[in-house]
Amino acid sequence: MGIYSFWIFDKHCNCIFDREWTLTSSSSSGTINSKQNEETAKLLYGMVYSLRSITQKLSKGSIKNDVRSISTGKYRIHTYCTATGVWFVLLTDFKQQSYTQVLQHVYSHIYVKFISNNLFSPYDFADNESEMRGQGTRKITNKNFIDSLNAFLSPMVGQ
Amino acid sequence: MPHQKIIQTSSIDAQSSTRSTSNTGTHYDDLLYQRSLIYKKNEISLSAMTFLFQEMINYLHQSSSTMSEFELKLSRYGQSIGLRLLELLNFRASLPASLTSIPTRSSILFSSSAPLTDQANSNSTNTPDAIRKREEESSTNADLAKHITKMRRRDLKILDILQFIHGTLWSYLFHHVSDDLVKSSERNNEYMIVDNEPQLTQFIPQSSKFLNSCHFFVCGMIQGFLLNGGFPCSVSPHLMPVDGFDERVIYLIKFDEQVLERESLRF
Amino acid sequence: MSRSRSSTTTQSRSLKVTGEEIWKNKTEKINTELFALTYGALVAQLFEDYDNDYSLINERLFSMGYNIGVRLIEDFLARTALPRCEDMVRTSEVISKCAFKIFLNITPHVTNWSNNKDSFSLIIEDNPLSEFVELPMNAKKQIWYSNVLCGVLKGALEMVQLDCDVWFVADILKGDPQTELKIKLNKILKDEIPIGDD
Repeated sequence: MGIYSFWIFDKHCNCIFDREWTLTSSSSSGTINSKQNEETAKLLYGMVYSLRSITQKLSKGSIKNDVRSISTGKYRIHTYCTATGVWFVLLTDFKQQSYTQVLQHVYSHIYVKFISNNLFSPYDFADNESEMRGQGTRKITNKNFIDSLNAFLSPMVGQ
Repeated sequence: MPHQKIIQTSSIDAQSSTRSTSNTGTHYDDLLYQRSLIYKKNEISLSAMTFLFQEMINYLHQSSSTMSEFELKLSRYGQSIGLRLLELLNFRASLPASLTSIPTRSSILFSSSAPLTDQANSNSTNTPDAIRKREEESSTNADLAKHITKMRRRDLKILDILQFIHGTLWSYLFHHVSDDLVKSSERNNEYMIVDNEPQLTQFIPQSSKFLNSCHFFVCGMIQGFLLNGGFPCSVSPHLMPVDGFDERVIYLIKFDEQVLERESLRF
Repeated sequence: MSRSRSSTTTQSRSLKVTGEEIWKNKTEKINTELFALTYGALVAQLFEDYDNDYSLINERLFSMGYNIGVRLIEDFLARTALPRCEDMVRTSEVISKCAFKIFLNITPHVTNWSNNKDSFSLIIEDNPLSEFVELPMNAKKQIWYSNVLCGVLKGALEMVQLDCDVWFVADILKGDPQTELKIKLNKILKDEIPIGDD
């Protein structure tokens, strides 16, 4: 296993996409936007969010002190946050040090292409205030997005 | 019908531009006509263009109640551009290379631009300002015209003008000649221009039922170009994906009967 | 502190290089005139649809720009990978040297700073939207032909949490000596926090 799961959070603290390769209950290739992941998503976001708040407090003045990865005993969490507040999060094993380029690629060549630049996809997944601050449920379901993300990330699963 | 529409549009434009020439001339206005004629080969990013194109589609979609209304409106946008490009590209094509950098053949279409100018002048108010302005304009145009040594007759044959679209117009719009120009084997009034990778629609998902309709913009440009050249026709898009080119589109041109009749005459 | 001063100038020079490098090597390009003619066709349509109600047309152009801006910002960030700016001076540099450069291949001049550095002007030379354009006389006084640009900037800045007012103060098309666009910061928007965390 190289990568375990992939997550996107929007600026409203909502998980707008998740892709899990270790949960095999629904199919052998893992799950996309699974209900099972809702709670995990909230915890994951909470952790990344808190760490970010702390690092920003610790580094007054400098804005470049971003969280890039967090390690635990068993895996590593890689994060990439855009200036617009979209978080890309990847859970992996320890074999590879940095996944920043992978996440940047997902953002620039997949997310921007199929979501932001696509008139037929919403650019904001929260319709109103009741869907902000982590209360939203809408997900990315765009087929082109899912297909190209799969094509890009799947080869890294079995590494 | 669409033919009439075009003529209306251009006469309205001519009027409004006349109105503004009677305004106190600024340095900018003085330069406008000459500057516009010379091709400066400026570029912007394709992204900026596709964002604008998408927003234009968004606006049209909101203001149309049916898909065919949407297609008609989008096509009309294209037409208003196409009919201007015929004049512009032909004029530029006849300027010597030192003044223009677009690779074209030497031909010019002064004959069809003349009526437009006349109309503009007849509607103009004859204030001293307007007269002075017109004189300036004509001297500006004369400056450019001095450089033109060879004027070519305008395109009279279907194949000539289609070649011009395939080569010059396409290079101007998209930096490359169109991927193919084909005559239908079944109907003798039908021709096809092929684009393997249409640029303007690149962010509109293939799965969208909308995609085909969005090609009416380029259809309109081709149609406007041909109408203004005296080749009334209709143009429609057809998605024809092939291996490696999922977004390939064919612009099908159907010429009106009169064009074929004229074509069969000997000049 | 003296170090951070000198690093600001280095940064601004490198923004210029970044912008030029991305424009040159990583940007697909298209003819400016097609862009200008397309925009012209759109504005002409608005003149017709809104029956020459110029303030409505200005508004509509602005809102179209806004719709573009909120998406365009992601495209911009994907190309440049720039972080948020620490102040408006930096923001002005990024807009002029990177954003305008990458999308429209021009670099407007930044000037007319307010004393507290929260508002500035962009002087736009060779505005690609204005190519071929001569405004009808009765529209000249009221129309802001390129108002779409204000909307784009408004939308894009809002997405990086900068609530700004953006407006034209002069346009060469109206007979002004230059085209000047003003950006004023109202406030920096706060990032949302998950419910229950405050």
